[in-house]
Amino acid sequence: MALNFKQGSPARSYTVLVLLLAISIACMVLYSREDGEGPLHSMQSTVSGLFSPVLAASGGISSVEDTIASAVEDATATPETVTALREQNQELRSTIAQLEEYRQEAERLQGTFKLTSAYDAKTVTGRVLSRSMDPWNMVVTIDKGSNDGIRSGLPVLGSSGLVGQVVSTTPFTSDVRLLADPQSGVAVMVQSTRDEGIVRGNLDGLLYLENVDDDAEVKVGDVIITSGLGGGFFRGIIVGTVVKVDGEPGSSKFEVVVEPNASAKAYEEITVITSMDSDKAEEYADKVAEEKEREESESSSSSSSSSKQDDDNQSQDGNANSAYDAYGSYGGYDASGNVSYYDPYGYYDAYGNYISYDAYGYGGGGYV
Amino acid sequence: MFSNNLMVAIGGLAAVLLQVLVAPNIAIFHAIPNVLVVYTLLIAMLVPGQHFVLAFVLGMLSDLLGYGPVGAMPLLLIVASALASRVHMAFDNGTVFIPLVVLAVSIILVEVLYAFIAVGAAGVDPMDAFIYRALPCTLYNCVLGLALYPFMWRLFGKREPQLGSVMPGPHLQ
Repeated sequence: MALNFKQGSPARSYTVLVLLLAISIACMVLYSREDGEGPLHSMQSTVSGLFSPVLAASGGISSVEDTIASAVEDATATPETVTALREQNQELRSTIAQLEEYRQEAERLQGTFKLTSAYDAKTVTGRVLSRSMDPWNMVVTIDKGSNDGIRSGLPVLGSSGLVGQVVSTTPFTSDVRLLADPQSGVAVMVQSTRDEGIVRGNLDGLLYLENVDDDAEVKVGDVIITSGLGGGFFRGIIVGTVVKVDGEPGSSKFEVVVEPNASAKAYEEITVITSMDSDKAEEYADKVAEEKEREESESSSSSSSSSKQDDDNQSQDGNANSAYDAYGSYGGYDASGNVSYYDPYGYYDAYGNYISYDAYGYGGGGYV
Repeated sequence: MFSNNLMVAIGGLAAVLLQVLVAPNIAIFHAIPNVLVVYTLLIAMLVPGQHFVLAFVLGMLSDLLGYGPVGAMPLLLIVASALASRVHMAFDNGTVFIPLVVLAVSIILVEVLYAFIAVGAAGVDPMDAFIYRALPCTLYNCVLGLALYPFMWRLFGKREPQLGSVMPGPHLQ
């Protein structure tokens, strides 16, 4: 087809240009006016479905990239270094890596199973095939579709909370829009005060709690759960925890940042909820809130205990016994110098200095 | 001419496959390269006269495979490729500088306008859209264009370009 301005017929070129522009604009107008079942939306789903085998291959690209990098590394090694021992070592490494992969997968699935059991939910778990190929949509495609009972609008869980919502399905695949997508919005409520709002994603990757009433009470540490309003999500699914509150409700600068409960890292398996018991979900959210409160109180008592201990050490010339009796498990030495209470975070040495455990459980974490 | 058409079509197919298979896996933060846009604009500059249909087809495929409004990307690609082709014809002095500037300006035009169309309805702050998506994606696509330009020139042009060298565009040969 000759569409050259210079060599072809200019009139024909302009005709084609105008025609294609008109078709494009007509498509845009039609797309914006039709609902999710309209012809263009259906065509979009159909084309995505047709490309699903190709999309499935996309998921393996990352591992292929790693393999290629490894192969390049091997190819550039000197022949002397390529010994039988090294080959054997690599085989063992490969086996360990594979086992580690299975272990992590089992952990993730256990987390999902625990969550769905707590929610008493009927679920379909799918593997992520691919991610959106444009930067404006945070959508993943999973290998389960309408043939597995999935339909648009159903909520999707990661290993520890809500991660998104099904936006379209084909018989064999489903598209899930993630919470962090700016076009996603979830009707939620603050679990403790029942104040309602909407959690939205943003292009900066954070979740924001919006549309909160002027008299709402939101504070850091509040657990956010789905409210079930609007019918898109079942009530009681845990979304995340408030990590930052700026300004006062009703003011233009009021901003609440929510940290999603489900990990923000790449999802590999996700679970679509087809039905669930909202009351049990709320009970689970209660437990999560209690656990978070307990963790916070433990960490704050730990820090206050250690600071208090330092003060007392200074004032009592190393005799710390009376100071940490008031702090329960953060006791330490008795009069004979023996440990009277078990402290999971550290111990006191013979000089009364508190030494925290390091990541490996040894007392190398340094003085506090 | 047939040979060029065939090569453009094969290149388009390769661009689609690269976009679907590779692009999401080489995203830097949330910036995903758009091979389709880069390929279309390079073709518009290197093989003027074949870009309308290519822009429409690749744009339509991009929208159908993605989640944005169908029709937006073909519209933007047709406009951007027409502008890129005309500007390149007018200002090409045989160096790599002009094509890269034209490419960068065309890419940022596509990205910014697509941002308004695709996420404008979602109530996203335009400044956020520009800073967090349009700008990083433009930079990423410019780097991709810089890498692809010599290769595309070798395929569709006559001589390999050199920085600062006088190099007649293919439409002048």
